[in-house]
Amino acid sequence: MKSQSQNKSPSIHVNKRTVSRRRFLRGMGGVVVGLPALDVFQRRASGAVPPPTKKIYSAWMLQNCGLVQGPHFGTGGGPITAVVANAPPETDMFWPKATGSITAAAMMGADADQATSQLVDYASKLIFVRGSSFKHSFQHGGGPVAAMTGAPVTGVYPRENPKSESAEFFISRMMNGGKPPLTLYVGRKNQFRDDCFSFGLGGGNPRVGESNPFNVYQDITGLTGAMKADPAMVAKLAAQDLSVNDLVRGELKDLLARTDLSMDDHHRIDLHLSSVREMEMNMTTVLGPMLDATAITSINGKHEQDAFIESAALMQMDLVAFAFASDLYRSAAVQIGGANDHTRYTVDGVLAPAYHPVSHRNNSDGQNGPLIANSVQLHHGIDKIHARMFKRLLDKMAAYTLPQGGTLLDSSVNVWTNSLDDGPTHGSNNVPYVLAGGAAGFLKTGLHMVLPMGSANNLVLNTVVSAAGCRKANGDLVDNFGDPAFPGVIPEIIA
Amino acid sequence: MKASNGWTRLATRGAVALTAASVFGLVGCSGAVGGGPTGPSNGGGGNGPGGGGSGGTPGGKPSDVSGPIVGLPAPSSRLVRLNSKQWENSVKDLLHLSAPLGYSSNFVTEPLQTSFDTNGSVLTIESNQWSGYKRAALDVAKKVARDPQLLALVAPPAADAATRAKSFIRDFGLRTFRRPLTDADITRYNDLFTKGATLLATGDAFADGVEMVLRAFFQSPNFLYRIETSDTVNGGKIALGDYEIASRLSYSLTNSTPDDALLSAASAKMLQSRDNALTQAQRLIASPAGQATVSDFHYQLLHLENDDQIMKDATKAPAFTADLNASLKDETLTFVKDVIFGQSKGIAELLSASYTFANSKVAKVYGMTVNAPAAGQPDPFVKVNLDPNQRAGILTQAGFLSFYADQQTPSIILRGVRIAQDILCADIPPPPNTIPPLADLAPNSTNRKRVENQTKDAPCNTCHTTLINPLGFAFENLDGFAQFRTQENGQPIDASAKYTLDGKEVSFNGPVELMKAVSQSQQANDCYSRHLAEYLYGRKIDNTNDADASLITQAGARSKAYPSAKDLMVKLVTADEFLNRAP
Repeated sequence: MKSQSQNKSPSIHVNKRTVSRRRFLRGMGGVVVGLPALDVFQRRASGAVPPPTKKIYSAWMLQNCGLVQGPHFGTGGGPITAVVANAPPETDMFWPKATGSITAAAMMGADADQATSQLVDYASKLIFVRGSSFKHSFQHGGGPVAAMTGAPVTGVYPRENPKSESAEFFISRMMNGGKPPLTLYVGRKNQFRDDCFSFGLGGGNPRVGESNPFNVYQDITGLTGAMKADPAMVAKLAAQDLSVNDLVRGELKDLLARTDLSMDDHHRIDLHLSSVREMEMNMTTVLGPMLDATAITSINGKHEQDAFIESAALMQMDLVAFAFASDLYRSAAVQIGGANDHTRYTVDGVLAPAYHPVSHRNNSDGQNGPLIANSVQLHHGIDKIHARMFKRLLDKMAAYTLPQGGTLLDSSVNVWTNSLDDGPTHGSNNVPYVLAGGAAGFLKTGLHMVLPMGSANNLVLNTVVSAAGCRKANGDLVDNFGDPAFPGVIPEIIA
Repeated sequence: MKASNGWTRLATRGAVALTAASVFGLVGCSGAVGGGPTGPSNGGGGNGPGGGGSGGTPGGKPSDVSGPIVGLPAPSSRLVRLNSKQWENSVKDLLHLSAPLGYSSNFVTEPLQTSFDTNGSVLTIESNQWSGYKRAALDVAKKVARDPQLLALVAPPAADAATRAKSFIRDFGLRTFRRPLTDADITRYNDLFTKGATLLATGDAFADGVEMVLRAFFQSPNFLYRIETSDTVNGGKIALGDYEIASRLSYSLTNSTPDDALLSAASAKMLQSRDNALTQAQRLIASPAGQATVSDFHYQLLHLENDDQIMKDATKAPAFTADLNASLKDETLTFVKDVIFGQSKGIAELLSASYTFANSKVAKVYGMTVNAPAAGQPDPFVKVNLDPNQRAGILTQAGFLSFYADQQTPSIILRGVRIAQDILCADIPPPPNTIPPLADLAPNSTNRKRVENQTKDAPCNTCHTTLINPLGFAFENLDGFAQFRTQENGQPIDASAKYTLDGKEVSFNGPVELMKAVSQSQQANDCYSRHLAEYLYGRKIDNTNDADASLITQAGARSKAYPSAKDLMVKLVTADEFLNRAP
């Protein structure tokens, strides 16, 4: 904890605009308001304080229902054609046409309409890894699990659960003192299978993602409305909160002291106590220009409606970047839609049919039903929408500058993946991973590569968790994440 | 999801995914209820752990099944968290409101982790849940403290403010914690009440004190969890205290906090008597909240949430309009209510009745006419008789038939899996991971032949030919538009099959014959009892545990002998296992 005097240090610069210091509310036997900002923002007297420890942040975004990307590039695979009558064969509308270097010139030129070209601003910071395969679980129910864990599963389709944790949970556990990651969701819930991308230690049931940006906003700031500009109000709120928390904490500790609790019951109380403590650590005050509190507040209650889902996604990305910048979390997972996402996206100004039938190319959740006119173009448009969601994350992370130089994006590795490879086949042998951020120099960015057919996606996961700073007990790179039967990293993208 | 024993809730919608899920081989499947040590009972017998009593079934011998369910309890959690529905109902009832406040809609949505959402023993409080509880507690406290009527309700006027505050903490605390507050509790909450005037400083010291205490009450683990602290072991079990029994009865049967009558009975130390507990259980189950709970159980058991996902091609099935789906759920729930509360019947009738309830929309699906209401008026459900040669019970209703189908073509596999798992508690393990979709339906062939051909070889045939396909074949007379048919693709429908029920092979032809056999089987009664126990007990029933196996054997025998679901529920919540806990 920093001293009170540090609270008087100059404001920091974010995106060339001056914002106030971020401060924390902590309850430690007494109310302490206005504690210093995080070291990621700390403007230090020259030479007086050693540079901050290198921290790598990692956000993972899941798209569902596959891409318009044609068959596996390089080693072949049959043409992608929907089952529905009169459906045309599909070609790649997602990746740059050439592998090798990723260049802004190509993305603005010959590849301008490819979905990944939405990320042209970050051409030099991207890595495209195509063609990986899931090995343990598949299709809508199992694909999200595989994309994030690479692990063997238990349970029955569509509710397979992995036998080990997800990558972002692993990163947070290893690199952030065991603290759970930020888990977010975009879209409607209570659908086919919604939360299925984030899993805790030992796998098991999915971790629940918060879908309402307003709730996330409140959680990570602890404040709403006028309070953020009123330190006296903050102090008052803190005192109220602490009084209740102290009482609740006492009751929880009384329960914990019982000797007849089962291990599960003991764990449940421990977790509850941690949650009480975590909320007390939450940030309370000025958010600066990086979050649009008015917009976030106005979307409350509408965030699951089709017309607002894209906006909600952008807000969730803002909140992830803000949470990283505040050092509240080291990793995050953002699942876009349920496992067979039924969001009706607006593509080029027109409300499209539900995404899942669009991905099938026919107007049903199965193989029967009439062809959806222009469904390939619609899916391509939806791929671009997801690209813009990912770009929003990169925009915001690039806007946070670090005291030691560079941006938060440079000190991160972010991943956009999918639970299927394409819509019509629902396959799992050509799974995409779009990476962004060089993990403070660990990764060789600006490269577009294709993995040989059949390569386990564990190779990607091993590489990314290693890039995020995780190591095996002997100090080696992690090469056994999810399933040691598929070992190794991808040397081509390691600097 | 019944995670550990291979049961599943295939709440699915994508037909490609659905068919693929179960096409291929399944190993280690079992038709017994849960695959536990006892298997299906035969008229009351079982291999329970003993325990004796007038209605017990120790030693596997048939006995009097009119008495209580007896035996030692299985292990259970001491801390069962309220689910969102129970939180909402509890707040409503504590404040004597006519409708829920709806604050739980802002709680993070939690995935179903076991059979039913009442299983709070697996629910935790992580930071996102905790923030939801905190926000809601603040909102409830403010609403009550700043509303003079609500304030007077929770803190009735007294001679002076100090007396009023103490009475409020003692009385509202008892109702919130579902037990009397200890002296230490009262001291803590009195201190917080006193601080209220400083912490909130609105100028109304009493309301400030109430608001602070309510904030704490609604964030307290004593409210958020049902906590059982009894610890005196006697005869291999711990008798629960009266207030603990009151909570179990109330949350099991009404999904809410104990009402005044139940708390009075607990205060008078009456509930450790099985007879008194039975009287309370009968009262609760007959209440509107009890009836809502019975509806909720069947809603979850039958996966009625799936009805929202039904999408049919309107050009081929014009009765399936966009606003039909909600009526399909109401059809089933109205039917359930009539059978259980109107006729005091149970699972046998649910599976075999040749009638249903239809409004103007549902009637069209069955080719009937029920007059449509005038604009803006309700569209009531009326009892309609169905062809007893074509339909029998809840699984021949339109919702089940149309969801488990790809447009008009039935999903033999998914219908079979659902019946095997939900109605007969067959233990079906997960399918292998590499599963091709079903082949296209060939011209001049049938859906049955397609499935038979694709599942006839090992390892698929292990479960498909014995446990899954025969049940689905029998339903081939009822297509995905819920219409009876005798031909498909110009070929006659073959709905004949054989299945092992209660250890004996049964032959049938069509859904009516199948459901008649199933409804009369001990296996279906055991399975229904097991589902009910999981819902009411708020935990997974583990058939590999002798105590739970005995519980289901005894309950199933009573269900078959006295087929009233209401009575079965009362038996379950007055069983030894419910009134006691394991050491």
